[in-house]
Amino acid sequence: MTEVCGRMKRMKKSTVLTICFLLLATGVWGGHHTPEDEGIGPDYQARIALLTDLGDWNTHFDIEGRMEDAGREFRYRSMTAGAFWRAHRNLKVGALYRLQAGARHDDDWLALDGNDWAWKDSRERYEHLFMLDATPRFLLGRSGVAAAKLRYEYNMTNNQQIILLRPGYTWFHMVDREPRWNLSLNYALYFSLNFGDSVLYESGPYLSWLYHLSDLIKVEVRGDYITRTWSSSEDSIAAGDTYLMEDRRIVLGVGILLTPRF
Amino acid sequence: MLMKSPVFLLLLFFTVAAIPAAADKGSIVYAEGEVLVKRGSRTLSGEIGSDLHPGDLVRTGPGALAVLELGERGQVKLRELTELSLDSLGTRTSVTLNRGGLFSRIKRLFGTEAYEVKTPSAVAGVRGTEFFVAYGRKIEDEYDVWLCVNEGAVEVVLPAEGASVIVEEGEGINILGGNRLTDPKFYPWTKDLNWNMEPDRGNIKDETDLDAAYSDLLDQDYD
Repeated sequence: MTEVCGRMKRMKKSTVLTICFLLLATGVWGGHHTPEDEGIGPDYQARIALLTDLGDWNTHFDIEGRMEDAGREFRYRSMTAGAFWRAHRNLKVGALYRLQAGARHDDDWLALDGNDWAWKDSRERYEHLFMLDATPRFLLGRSGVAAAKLRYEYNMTNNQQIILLRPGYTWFHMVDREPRWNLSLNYALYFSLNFGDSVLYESGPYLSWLYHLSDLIKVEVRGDYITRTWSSSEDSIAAGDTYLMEDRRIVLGVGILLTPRF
Repeated sequence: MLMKSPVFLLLLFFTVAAIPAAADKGSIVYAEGEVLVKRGSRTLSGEIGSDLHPGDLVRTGPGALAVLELGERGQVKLRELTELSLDSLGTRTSVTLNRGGLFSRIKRLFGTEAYEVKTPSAVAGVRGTEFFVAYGRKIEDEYDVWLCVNEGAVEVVLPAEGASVIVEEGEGINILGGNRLTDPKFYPWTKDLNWNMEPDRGNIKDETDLDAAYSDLLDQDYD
């Protein structure tokens, strides 16, 4: 296999990556320097959000946590705060700040002592993110809304930049002219701007159901099917291995949303 | 736009003795923009001070408004694009709102005195002193009718359905398609209503967008 990769080094990087990816995808090459899909069953996430409606302005605050991997560790946590402005009937723009811990990045796949490889424990690594968001929305009939979220994310801790494009459709069940519950189907596409070897580093659909208990309280249940592409970590490259590894997982989530209007 | 379906009555009842007779005529006490008074086959320009009589039809044009004195019953304010028929004035004052929106500020009634607001889409009875009635969207066969109370309490009754509800101060309801009552509750959009009818006390024009009374699905986003 080392010989094979040696010849590959003379080829363009993209070609090498493509071939390596194909080898991985077909299961021909599965080295211990490559992260493995630890997912057995779904991950679980929960969030509580305070989303205030101030007319053309909305404030956003949420706290989210996720239990991940085979051990269902409570790993990822985040707090997001920001505001949106309705610039046009069909367009909201916003700016958000996020403090997160437990996020996993490509270089977190580490060589430990000996031949052991493992993901870094990032639970105590706090990261600061800044996000700009623009979301056009359009009515489709009386009860449907089509939207396309476009978000730029800048991770100020590691300088990684991401563009999220998330087209989706929401259908509202109306009772007495007001929504009682709504069902949303979205497809998220995360594009890396300055890291990794795969431009599309994460993607997948998610389905969410939101029940309007009252004007103030809503509950949500959602399920995501995420495909994340891991690129070679610094340690793996140093060890002479490169890879593109797809990690697929299902995430089930619940949330409580407080939505006061003023 | 003039709707001619079943009559929708908004009645004010106060059960206290003594009966001072109310004058059997009204007048325009304030007007802005185009205000017309249709009397029989004649159409008159509605000016401040113009007398009003039973049978008159008062219309406001785009951007216009009018405040009417209804004898001793009280005052009403017509929003723009409103048409109000003065069916009777006096002890029992009755008006019909054919389109648009109407604010009513009614003085305390005594004995057999009554104040009625009718709309063509349903039948209801109310009690109260200051309330707002307006047509909303036409989503079903008939228009929705919004009613909200600023002062006092309003009893809305739909005899055909055998339904009734008390709307308390600060609450509103929607008469869906003119024949179904929603539960009374506070609607944030009603905070924008301009209840003032006295020009000396500032702006009296109400420019509330009735579309705000409906859930804006484009504003329903949660992530």
